[in-house]
Amino acid sequence: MKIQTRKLVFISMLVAQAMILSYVESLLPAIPIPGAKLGFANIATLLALSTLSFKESFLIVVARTVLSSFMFGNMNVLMYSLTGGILSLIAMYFILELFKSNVSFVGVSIVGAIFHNIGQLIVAWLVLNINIFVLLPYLLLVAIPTGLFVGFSSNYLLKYLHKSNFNFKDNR
Amino acid sequence: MKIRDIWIIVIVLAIALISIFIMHNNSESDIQTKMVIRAANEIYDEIPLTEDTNETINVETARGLNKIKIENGVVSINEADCPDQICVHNRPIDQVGEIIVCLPNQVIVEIVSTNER
Repeated sequence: MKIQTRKLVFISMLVAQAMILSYVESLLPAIPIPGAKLGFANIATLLALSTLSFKESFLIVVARTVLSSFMFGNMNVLMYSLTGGILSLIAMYFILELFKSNVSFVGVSIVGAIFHNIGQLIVAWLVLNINIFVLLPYLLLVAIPTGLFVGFSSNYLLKYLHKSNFNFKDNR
Repeated sequence: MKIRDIWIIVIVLAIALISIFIMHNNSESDIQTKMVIRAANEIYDEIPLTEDTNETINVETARGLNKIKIENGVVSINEADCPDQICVHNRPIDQVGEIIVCLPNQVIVEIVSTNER
C-alpha cells in the first residue's frame, strides 16, 4: 500500500513536471522549422520509461498531452502532440528493450524526438494533404542537439532518482 | 553517453545529410516551377515562377491573413497574424518541393514543377 501511494505521487509529479516543462518551452523562441521544438517534456517520459512500466508511461504521456493541450493549446495541438507522443513512446520503449544497458538517455531521446516528428508529420500529411515529409531531414538534424540536451538532463536526474529509491520496476 | 548513443547520432546525421543532399541535387535549374498557395485544403492561388517574378499576395481566410512576397522568383511570407510566426521566420524558398507552412492559419505555400513527368 505504501508503495502504491509513493508510485501514485511519483506519476502525478512526472505529469506535472512535463506540463510545466512544455509551458516553459512555449515561452522560449521557436525554432523556425514547423514541427521542430526542444522537447523538454520528453524528460518526464524518459524517466517514466526507466522507472515505471510501459502501461504507466503510456498513461503519463496521454495525461500530459491532453492536459497541456487543454491548458496551453487547442484541439489542433492535441491531435499533433498525442500522435507524436505515443509514437515516440513506443519507439523509445523498443530502443530501451533492444539495447538495454548499451544505450543511455541520449540515444533514446534522439530516437524519441525523431518519432515524435514523424508522428506529427503523419498527422499534418493526413490533415493538410501535402507532401510534408520533405521537412524530415531538417527535423532529423534538429533532433540531434535537442536530443543531446534532453538526454543529458535525464541521465543526470535519473542518478538522483536511483539514490532516493524511486524505481518501481523492481518493487513489483 | 554510451557506445550505442554514438551509433544513433552517426546514423541519424548520415541519413539527414544524405537526404538533404539528394533533395538539392534533384532540383535542376531549367525546370519550370510554379508556386501553389493552399488555404484550408483548397487551392487558393497558383503563380508561375521565373527569375523576375515580383509580386505580393494577401491570403485572407476566415482563420487569418498571410502576406506572401515573391522577390526575383524567391518566395517568403512577409507578414502573418498567426500567434507563432513560424512561417514568417521560415527561410525563403525557390526549389521544387520546398514548402512554407502556417499551421494556425492552415496556409501552405508550395513550389511545384510544371514540367510533364
